[in-house]
Amino acid sequence: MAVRAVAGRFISCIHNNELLLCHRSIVGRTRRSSSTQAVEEPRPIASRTVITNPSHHTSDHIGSWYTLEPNTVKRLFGHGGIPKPYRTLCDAFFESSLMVRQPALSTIDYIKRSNLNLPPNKFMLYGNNGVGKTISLVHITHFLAEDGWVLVHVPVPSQWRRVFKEVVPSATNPDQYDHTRDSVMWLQHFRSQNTELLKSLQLETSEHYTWTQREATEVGQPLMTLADFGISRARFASDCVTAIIKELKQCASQDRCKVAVVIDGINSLFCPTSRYRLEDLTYLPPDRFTIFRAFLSLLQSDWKNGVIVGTIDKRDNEGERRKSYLPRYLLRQKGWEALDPFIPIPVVDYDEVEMRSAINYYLDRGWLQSPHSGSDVGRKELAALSNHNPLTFMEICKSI
Amino acid sequence: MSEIWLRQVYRGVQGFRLHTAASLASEINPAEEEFRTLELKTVRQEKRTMRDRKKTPILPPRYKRQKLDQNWGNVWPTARTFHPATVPFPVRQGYPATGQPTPDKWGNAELMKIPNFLHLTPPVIKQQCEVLKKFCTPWPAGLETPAKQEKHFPATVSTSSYLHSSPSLRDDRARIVTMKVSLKSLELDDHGRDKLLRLVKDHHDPKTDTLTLVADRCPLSTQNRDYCTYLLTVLYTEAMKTEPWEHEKNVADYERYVWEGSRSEAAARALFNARDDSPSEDVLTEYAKVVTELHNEGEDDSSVSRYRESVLKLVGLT
Repeated sequence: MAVRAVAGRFISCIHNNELLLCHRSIVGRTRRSSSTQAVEEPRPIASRTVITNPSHHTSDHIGSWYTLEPNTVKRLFGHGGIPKPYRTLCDAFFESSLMVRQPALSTIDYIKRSNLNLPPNKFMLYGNNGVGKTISLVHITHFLAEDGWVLVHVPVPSQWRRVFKEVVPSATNPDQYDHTRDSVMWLQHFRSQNTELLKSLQLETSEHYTWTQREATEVGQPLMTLADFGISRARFASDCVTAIIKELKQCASQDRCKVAVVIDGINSLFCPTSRYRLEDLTYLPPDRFTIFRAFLSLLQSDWKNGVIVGTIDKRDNEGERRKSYLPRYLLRQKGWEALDPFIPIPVVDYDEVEMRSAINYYLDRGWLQSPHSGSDVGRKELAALSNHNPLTFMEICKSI
Repeated sequence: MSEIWLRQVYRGVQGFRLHTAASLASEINPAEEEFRTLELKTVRQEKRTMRDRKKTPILPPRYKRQKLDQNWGNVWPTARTFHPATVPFPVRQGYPATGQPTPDKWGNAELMKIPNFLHLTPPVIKQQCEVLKKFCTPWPAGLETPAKQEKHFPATVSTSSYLHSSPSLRDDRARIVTMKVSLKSLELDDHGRDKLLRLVKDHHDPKTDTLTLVADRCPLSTQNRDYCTYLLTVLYTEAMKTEPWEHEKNVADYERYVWEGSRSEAAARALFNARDDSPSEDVLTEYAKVVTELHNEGEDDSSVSRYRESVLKLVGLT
């Protein structure tokens, strides 16, 4: 096979006198030996597992890559959840794969063994920048979805504090402020994740909600009508979020469903500053946002059949409070009192096995172009340059 | 140009012979018929040799002649400037130039500038102490150990005295008095200790648990010493008193985290009581200990992992 031209992901090659357009992943890298014969270099194969259901992952699979189906990715993370740089890589590789690592496996194991009659257990992943907290959370969220939990997933709560679309004073409660479009987006996300499950569980509203003189949600309506209403009427979207959360808590307490709350950057809910300016030019404290209050009510211990999984990330705090990655410092007194007692799960940099697996995966996907990447010296260099940090490793491999 | 003038001008020139009418007129020597060369430059035929100067022999450094078991106290009896040839060991000092090792002891100004204590080696000190012993009184009985000394003499007062060999003997710094007291000896209760620490702030050293009072406001050291005593008395009595407004102290003012009565206790107890497999009270006490330690001793990875273990036991996940 003679390789002729490279055009993006596709390589035109002549094979058996036919012109073919092949995906570059199929074509092996070739090198010319002294006799100008093209010789195929063996490409390392990534350590993969075919098990796509995270509840069947065990410690034997640590370091292996498992692939999420495209439908699952679209359903669960179509409106957020996977960080953008990672999503870009997944698009380049034509697959969404994650490495199976210990923190996610431990959390999944604890969730499986949790006593659901007690108030919800709280599992908080913490660690330095770029160690893989959010990706571990993606793994755990996939498990929760497969295991039949109703997902209440907040991908980026700090966005509601910093880069919100629109904040208006609440119509129903004079003390509160609503996020109109952000609530709509969250409701769309909730709907995308939970449509099938809520249909099968047949959860219904237990209260009558009067929105306006002509619009109301009756008792006994499917729960998704609240979400649909909120999406169609942005003005009431935040109140719909509050209503859905209240209903879910009630259903869970009545043993009708199990609810998993997944918040990526939970310490953002306890920050004292937001960027919304009031008329008197002071900044609004975020505990007056309707949706913040709604999600904070989920952290209380007055319900059961639940689990709360989150990450404590220093980038979700304001700039002055980022000196340490440890949970008590980042959560502050308010956050600590809201979450205590919780189970902090440390996430650390890659160890040797995981580092090897990550390099093999990039080589397998053809992402590392330099011919020395796979050699012993190259691997050591990559490990040293990235200091075994997953994010740094991803950043440096962009240009190799 | 007269002959006399010419002779004057060319008087220094060797081989100059004036060819004048007079000489022409006299009998000409056939050998002198040749044209004489004008030598302007004189070349000295012999070079004077320099006198042989006596070369002083460079002796080997003194330390090479020193025995290994010599009495060092005799070699270096008093404080003196560092002398490399007398000091028998290699020592380097100073910032090295690029690519060079640290400068050695030979001609090292840095070593010569600084005080060296080569005159006070342990054997020399021991010898001097033996001599001084006859001027000393015995150590008081009953004060052998530091604990006993602390018990009988808990407060230490230090002053420095200065002597000048100048028109005035006096030094202003001699009035400064420092008093050090260990807080253990004051026997304060929790409230008293907390109040005293708030009053003294930086004067307390938490590592050694000592209070240091420095007085220099009076002109005489005896007056400053009395002032220190007065200050200590006032601090102690104030610490022992409880003012009526002290009941306004709330959780935010507490100097240490107290688990009892906190929200952490309420949440933990609620969880503990909700469990139907009747766990032991040890789980709660361990949790209380770990949370208190996390807040009071500071947070790090090990204290967070201990917290994790205790919460796992609390929720029944071990």
